[in-house]
Amino acid sequence: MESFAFRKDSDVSGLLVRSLIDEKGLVRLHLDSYNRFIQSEFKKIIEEVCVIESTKGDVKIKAANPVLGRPIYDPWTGKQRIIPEVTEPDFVTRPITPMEARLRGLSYTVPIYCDFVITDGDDQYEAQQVLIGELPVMLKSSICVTNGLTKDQLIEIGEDPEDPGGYFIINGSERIIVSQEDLGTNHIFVEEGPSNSSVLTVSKVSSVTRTANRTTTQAELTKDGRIYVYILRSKIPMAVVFRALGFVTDRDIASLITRDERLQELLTQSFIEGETLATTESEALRYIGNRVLGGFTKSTEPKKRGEEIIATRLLPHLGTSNSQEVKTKKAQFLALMIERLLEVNVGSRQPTDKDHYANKRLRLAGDLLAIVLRNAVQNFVKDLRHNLDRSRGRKGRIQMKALVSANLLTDKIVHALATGNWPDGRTGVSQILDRVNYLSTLSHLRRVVSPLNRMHANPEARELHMTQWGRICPSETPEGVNVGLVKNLALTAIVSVGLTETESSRFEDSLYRRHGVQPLSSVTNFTGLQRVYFDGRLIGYHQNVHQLAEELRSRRRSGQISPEISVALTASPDGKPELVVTADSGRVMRPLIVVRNGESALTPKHIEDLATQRLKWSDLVAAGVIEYLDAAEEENATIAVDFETLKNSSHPEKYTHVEIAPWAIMGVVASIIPYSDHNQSPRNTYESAMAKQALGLYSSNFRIRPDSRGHILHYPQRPIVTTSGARVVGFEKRPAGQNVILAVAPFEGYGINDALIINKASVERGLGRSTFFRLYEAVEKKYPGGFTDKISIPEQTVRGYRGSKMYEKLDEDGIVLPETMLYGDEVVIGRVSPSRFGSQLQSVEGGGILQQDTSVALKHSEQGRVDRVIITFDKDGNRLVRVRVRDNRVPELGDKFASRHGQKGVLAYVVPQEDMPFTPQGIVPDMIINPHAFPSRMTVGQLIELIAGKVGALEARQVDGTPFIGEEPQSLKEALKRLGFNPAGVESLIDGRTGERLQAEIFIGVVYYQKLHHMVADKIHARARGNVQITTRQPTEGRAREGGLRFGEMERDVLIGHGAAALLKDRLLDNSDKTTVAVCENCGYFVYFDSRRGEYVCPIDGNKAKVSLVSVPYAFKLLMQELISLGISPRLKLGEVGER
Amino acid sequence: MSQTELSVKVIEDKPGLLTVEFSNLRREVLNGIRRTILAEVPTLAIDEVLFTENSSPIYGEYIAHRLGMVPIKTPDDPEILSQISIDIQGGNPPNMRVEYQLRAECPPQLGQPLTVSSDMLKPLGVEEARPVYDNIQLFKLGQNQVVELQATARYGLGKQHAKFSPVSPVVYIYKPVLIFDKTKDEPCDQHVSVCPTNCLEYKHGELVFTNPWDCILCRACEKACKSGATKIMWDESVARLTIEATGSLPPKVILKTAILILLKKFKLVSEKVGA
Repeated sequence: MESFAFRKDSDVSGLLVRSLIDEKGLVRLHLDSYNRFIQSEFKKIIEEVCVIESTKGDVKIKAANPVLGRPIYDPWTGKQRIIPEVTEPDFVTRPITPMEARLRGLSYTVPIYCDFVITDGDDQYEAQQVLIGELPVMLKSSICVTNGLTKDQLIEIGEDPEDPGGYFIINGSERIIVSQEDLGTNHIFVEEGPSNSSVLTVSKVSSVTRTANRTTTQAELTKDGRIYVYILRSKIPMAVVFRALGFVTDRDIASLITRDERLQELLTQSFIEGETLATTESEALRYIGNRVLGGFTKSTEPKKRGEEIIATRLLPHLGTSNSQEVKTKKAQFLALMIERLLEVNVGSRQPTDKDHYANKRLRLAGDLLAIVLRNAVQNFVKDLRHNLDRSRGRKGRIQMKALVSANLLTDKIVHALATGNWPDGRTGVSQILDRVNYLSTLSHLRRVVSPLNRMHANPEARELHMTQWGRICPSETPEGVNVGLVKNLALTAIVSVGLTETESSRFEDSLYRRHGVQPLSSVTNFTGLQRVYFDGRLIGYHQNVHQLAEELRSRRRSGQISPEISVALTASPDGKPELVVTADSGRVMRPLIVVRNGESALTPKHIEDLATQRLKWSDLVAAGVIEYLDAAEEENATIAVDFETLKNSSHPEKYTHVEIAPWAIMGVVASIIPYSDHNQSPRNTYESAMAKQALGLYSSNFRIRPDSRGHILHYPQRPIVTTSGARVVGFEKRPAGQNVILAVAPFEGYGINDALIINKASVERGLGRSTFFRLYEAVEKKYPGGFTDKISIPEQTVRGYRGSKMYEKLDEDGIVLPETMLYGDEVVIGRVSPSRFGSQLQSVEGGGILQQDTSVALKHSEQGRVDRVIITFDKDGNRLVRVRVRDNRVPELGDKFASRHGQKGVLAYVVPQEDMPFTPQGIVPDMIINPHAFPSRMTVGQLIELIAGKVGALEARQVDGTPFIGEEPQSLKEALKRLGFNPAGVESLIDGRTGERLQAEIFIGVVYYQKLHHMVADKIHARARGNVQITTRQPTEGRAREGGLRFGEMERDVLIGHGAAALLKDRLLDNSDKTTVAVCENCGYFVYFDSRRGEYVCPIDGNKAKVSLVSVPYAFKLLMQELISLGISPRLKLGEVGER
Repeated sequence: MSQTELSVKVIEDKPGLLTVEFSNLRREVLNGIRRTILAEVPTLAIDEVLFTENSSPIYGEYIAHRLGMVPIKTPDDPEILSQISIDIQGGNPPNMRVEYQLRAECPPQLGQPLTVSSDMLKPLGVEEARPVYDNIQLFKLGQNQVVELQATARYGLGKQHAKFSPVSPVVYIYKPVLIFDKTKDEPCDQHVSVCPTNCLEYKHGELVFTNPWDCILCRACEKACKSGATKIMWDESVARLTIEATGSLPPKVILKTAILILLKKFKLVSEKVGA
């Protein structure tokens, strides 16, 4: 690893960010979330959900102590530990590596074992441990094989040491769970009611607990001054709900809600309404029990139902029991909701800013897996209960093994992950990991999607919010429908894991005991007291929350409480300070250097120790030098952008923090753009999209990976003009692009409209060469009835035989040999399958089984050499043959290239070297682009990169082009002059064709160019004749089907405009779906041809029909018949041309 | 020296590098020579590779491409070379070829990857047609990986593939000319300091070149001169041609071959015309 030389701030920022990423990796969020899930969450879900009561008898089964896997011998570390396993079809279980899972199309999972405690009446049987299913394992998580392996060992098991992990392997394909952006749960949101409704203000909270799905509780103020609470979509007057919770008198309710008399007055209407409906607790409960939609409770008694609903459906995050303690908590919370509601209504408080990042939470792999697991276990329980009921007839001991169907749980989980369809109705939650290049992989793993998608067409949700600074990349977002909704995390963004339940309650306890927070119920005199909130709840009061905040922050910096706990001061509408303490999961935090009394807590000693690796990032956090702030706490901070600002400030003590790295506001992709601070901002957005299409070295184990398709650039290079971001992210270890000598000049008009001119000699010397891979596979399937596929060279008699020429590259075993050259449609793997109706035919004809050719052939428009042949067995024990074909791709006309500044272009002219212009030193550009690319796009960054690249090439070093802090353009110009070049980067060239000196000086230097994966070889397409669709008999569509090029409406308009009737008919009829139909002129229907009698027969007029043959489009004939099938009677009236 | 008389002067003559100054050589002819050198002077280069074994991580086409780029010592008779060029362009490529053999294996006891370089490319028969440099890295082999191949080198031209080109840069520059209008000049030292190659100085109140050939015609001085007294031009009648060879042929042979090719082409033309 190269070390940063110490020159200035830029090195310090690079060092800090590098130490963060080296220690935590770029996919920490997924790993932390998953590890938390497997440590505690999964156990609790199974234990809480998996309770089975038999409907017959009183057998009760309870799951207890679920565990993941059993320690097995790990041959790589030589230890006994829990690692993923595979169960072969012969029931042998053995450890599996990720690469084996990929190669054989298996899932990378670990078994879940669970004890079942059975009680039959009073008898209790001893616990039985049973396999209940399998859980997919996240790569690089604590139970992954790769955990704790050295670099060499990783290589030995076929992994890329630089692979980030954070994804799953499901049926051989790599899938990620995309982080979902979510509004904060268990927090109160207040918003204005819809403008056209009678609702003025709404106060909402969505409660989330582990066992239940999320429930939303809503309070709203209507125009007639009444407040309603929604429970399960039923509208209940506010007073009734409070009475049901044990607060009966209006006075109690009013003082619980607020002590502000002005606000209390607003409650009058609600109290009047409540008076008429319920005056006691039991009346209120009955009212609720009668009102709330049925089907949720078994009980028929309204009061019982009311109690149950209040317990489980009203604010369940505060508890689901029926005790008065929980009820009081709920009443207090509801009171807070209503207070907020009123405050917003009178205008003393602003509605919640939904786009503020303090109000957002990210749901990561662990949270989302929990949803799947809960759903799967519920299904499992249902199935188990069914099996239990059936088995009750039999005598004897209950055998859990016989009752449990382990595949059920596994299939549910695997299915969700394999399709991305989540039980809660979301789609696209899991996606196939993007492996175009290393950056695209990382970016995919750090993607955040907002579920708001089409639902709310709220333009503000798409805009960049100021609180996204340092959390979400300002540049990297797609264009079009998803703009601003699909986001990417900034480099140093950290997602909170959240305290566990025990940690959380212990912390809350310490707030009371240690910090003197007075619990709500104990307070009688409110004067001089300030509110303290914890995880969205008002938990009590304190005399001086400023002091409390200081205490908590200093305890956090000294490592006594978790660094994740956020301590934010806000103000209530009356100007009193309030303290909001948050410790839940999914908050996006960012690290900052602490400033104490105007002095940075980070000292040169720290930096030196960090550079020599005596100190780690986490040491700095533990020492309180660096702390994590979430968006809520950041509102209290004053952050200096760099040390310089802090040092030169006249009031340094006003600063609380210093930014770690100004460039770390960018995400992984945007941070590779050099001098991006000089570009027009949309250009950085375009480049962020394009960098993900660049070819490079996506993974160092590409030779053994069975990717269904992939590209490898032959000579990937580190950029000469680099950025700290690119280094830190690992782009220089897995680069995607080449340094190219670029001239900005016109060239015979071939550069117009962003076309590129490339030097033929450069191409011949290897510039932009890449290899394309495609994987073909065939399974030798076994069918019921003893039939089986056979991988072999098909016999000529087989149905669908393609002619001997197509099979000639096959070896004896029916599979092509490595290094064989293959062309379009040639068979890669020969295979014969029993015909679908083979068994029936056998009995009818008595002959042998009819067989069908199901060989796998090379794609029609492709060619390539056989790279690798893999023969193995899939999870069902079927023989699996996978053949990878490679194709050498030399740049050709039409291939797409782009610089790192959103400047893309298509190759338009390959110029022989002798025709290229040359500099006095004899330098010939590799590429020429037209100067028109610059003025309107204002990608000044590329101009600076060109100069910087020239300096770097001449001085044989990499130039630091990090935005905001990179090498100054001015110093680069000076360097250029020192090196004997015009500082402007221009040179006097001689035209290679005429030998004349070009009149203008040409801007020439080195720019990093990316080859994008859109290549003509994959797109070129033409057809004269070919297949037609079966339904319409019109030519097929699309390159893959060898389709025709559509002669569309606009083209049709042209011919009509020109009056070219014959040509129009030629295009639309003669060369498309022309058919001849016979029509009966009497009835106007189609007639059929009776081939036995040799004549046309009209189904209506019989032989009396006057039959004429007409040429019509087949689609027209089809339309007629479809209309007839609908009971509509279309009749054709025939006549001669010109006749009416 | 008269205005029209052709003169040739060798400025620099080192192995692999030749600089010649031409006076009164027409631009078209000079550029013709340059273009001929790049595109038409033939050299030997590996053109066909037959793999008998390849268990390396590098594909055959990749290795073959790299082998093609290795410069190979080519017999340096301008007469023969020029004839070969004419023959190739006439559609009669010579039958001459050189076979090479390469077998490399990384023994497991090495403990590190084996770098296979150009010295392992052994010519069969024609001992002279060896790679110019011995230390060109071809590929690396991991433990127990083997590559065995036969390669064939043929004569070809730069216009067919850049690997046949005998030079890396071949370049000429025209003699820079400084026009300084004394009458317009106001005293300023901008011109001198702004020049990136330090080729300007004041002499007797006049701006002159210290060495005109150092000037890169970048016109930095012209732009810096606010009075408009300075102008940088060039003289097409004097030019310096620099040939930097790849090593397959000596620069002088390259130059001579290029000229012979041009002459033979002219001769062909005149024969066809029937003069």
